[in-house]
Amino acid sequence: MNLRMLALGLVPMISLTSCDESIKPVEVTETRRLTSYDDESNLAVAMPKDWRRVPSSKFRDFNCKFNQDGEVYISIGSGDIKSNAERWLTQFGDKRTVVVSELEKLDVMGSQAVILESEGTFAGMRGINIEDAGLLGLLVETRGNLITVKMIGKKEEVQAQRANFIAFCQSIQWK
Amino acid sequence: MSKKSTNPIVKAFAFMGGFHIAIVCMVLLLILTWLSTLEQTGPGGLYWTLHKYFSFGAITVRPTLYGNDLPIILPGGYWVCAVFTLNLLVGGVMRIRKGWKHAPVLVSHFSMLMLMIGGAVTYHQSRESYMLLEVGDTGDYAWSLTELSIEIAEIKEGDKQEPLILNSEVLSAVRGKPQLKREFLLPSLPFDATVSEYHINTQVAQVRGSAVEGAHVVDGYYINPIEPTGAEESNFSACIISLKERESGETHELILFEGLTHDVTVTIDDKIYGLRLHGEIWNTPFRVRLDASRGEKHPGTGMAMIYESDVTVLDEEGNDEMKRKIEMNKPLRYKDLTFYQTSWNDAGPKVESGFTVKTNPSDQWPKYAIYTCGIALFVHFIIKLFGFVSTSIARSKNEQ
Repeated sequence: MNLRMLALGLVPMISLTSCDESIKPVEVTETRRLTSYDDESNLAVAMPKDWRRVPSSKFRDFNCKFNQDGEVYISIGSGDIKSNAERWLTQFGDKRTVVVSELEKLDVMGSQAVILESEGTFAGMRGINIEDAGLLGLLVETRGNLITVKMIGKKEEVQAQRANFIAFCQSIQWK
Repeated sequence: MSKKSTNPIVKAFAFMGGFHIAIVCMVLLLILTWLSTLEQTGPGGLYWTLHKYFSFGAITVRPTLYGNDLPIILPGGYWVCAVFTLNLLVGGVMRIRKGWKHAPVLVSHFSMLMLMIGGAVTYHQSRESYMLLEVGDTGDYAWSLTELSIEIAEIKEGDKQEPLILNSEVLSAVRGKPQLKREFLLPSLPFDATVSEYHINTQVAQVRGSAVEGAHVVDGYYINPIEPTGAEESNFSACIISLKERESGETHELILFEGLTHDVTVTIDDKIYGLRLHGEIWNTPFRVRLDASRGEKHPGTGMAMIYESDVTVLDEEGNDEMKRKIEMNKPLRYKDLTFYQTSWNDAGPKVESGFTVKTNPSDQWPKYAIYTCGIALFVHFIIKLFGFVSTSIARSKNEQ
């Protein structure tokens, strides 16, 4: 009798384990309302549609990519515009002295930002080298911080993204 | 002498409510508890050991001790509890002798049954998350430290819209099983999603020069799985999500990493979508403002000895509803939620209080079950005592 009962018990047990429902496609409709959790950063930014946001890193507070390998990122740091601009130019083998007052200006975050451009072979950190590279950068001092936006990529791709870059920079706001 | 029934249903009923089933279940639960207690001190940690031994999906358990699988297979704790509950119902409530004399025993069995059912309700219906507040902050959400979800939200002009949620339950089929993948149909979006390579603890690395051999590189990044730590809340999960446009069939791959504090994005049909893997967000039905936080640490350690918080509960419009003090073992209970203070930290610029936020329909059932059982057994003891005393008196009178 007990054996018979055991056999009867095994039938549902085997059927339970043999059909794995959990891996089948499932329809998802659950949503939630927004909360303070969704205010993720102290900066509000509108990103162009043909860019994509990728993981941030220690020195990249808002990190984007465009095309295959083009990069744009915002860094919130310190220091002055001149020395940072000259450091960027050095990465292109450009040794010229930057005169900040002579750079192109743009109103960003309620302050006057400067735009820096360069071309050549980019030798960045992590041993990355890009031939025929272009630099489009923006530097602005605001609320005791130096905010920089740096775009690096193939020269012609960077030039093609100039309007997007300007719109992106102008969208940056403190929350 | 009563004649034993030959009806198999009656026999099965008797078997199910028998003492031997109860004893086997209790011994199994003792062994499972003992083995899981030993195993949770190992690399599996508490969260995954409980999952292995006592989850609904754990029909059988192969215990592991000190890194070695034991040559035994035990039934899962959930199912042993289910059989034990059935045994209590059949044997302790339905088949037990009825009558006023046996009423206290019946009540004590019934209260134990409620305890077991309360455990099942807790397992299936309770929810636990964490809310961390600095003094002056107002919280309107709590997040899970162990249950992860993927959220997909459209981003319009930099503003996130209401997200769609692939919750921990639907993701559980692939969590920690990187060889499996699961498809999610998203009718409100122009694409469907497939989640794969879901690792429990990882680092996400950027390709430097050439990619690591065998790595699945997505947009210059790849998942580097590492050994999970025993504490699930300190693991950082990652997975790959493929979004397949329904109209064009075009596929977009992204790596989602729990360690990120922001969305990663993809543009589909001229719309930007942000995706994120993180602890499940739980919108609380009211807001809590931390007005003051006080605590004291054990001398020479960073561990809190005592802590308490003054909080104000706010309605959805931000109006004060009530002020309360939360202390250790004195939680705030309001609108089906319970706020236990579980951490206190004064190391930062502002003092922080951490609250475990819990909802559990059977929250108070164990307390009531234990009280009821205690009273019933006391009454049973008194009845038996009176019976014994009266019999003894009668016997001594007869002897005289």
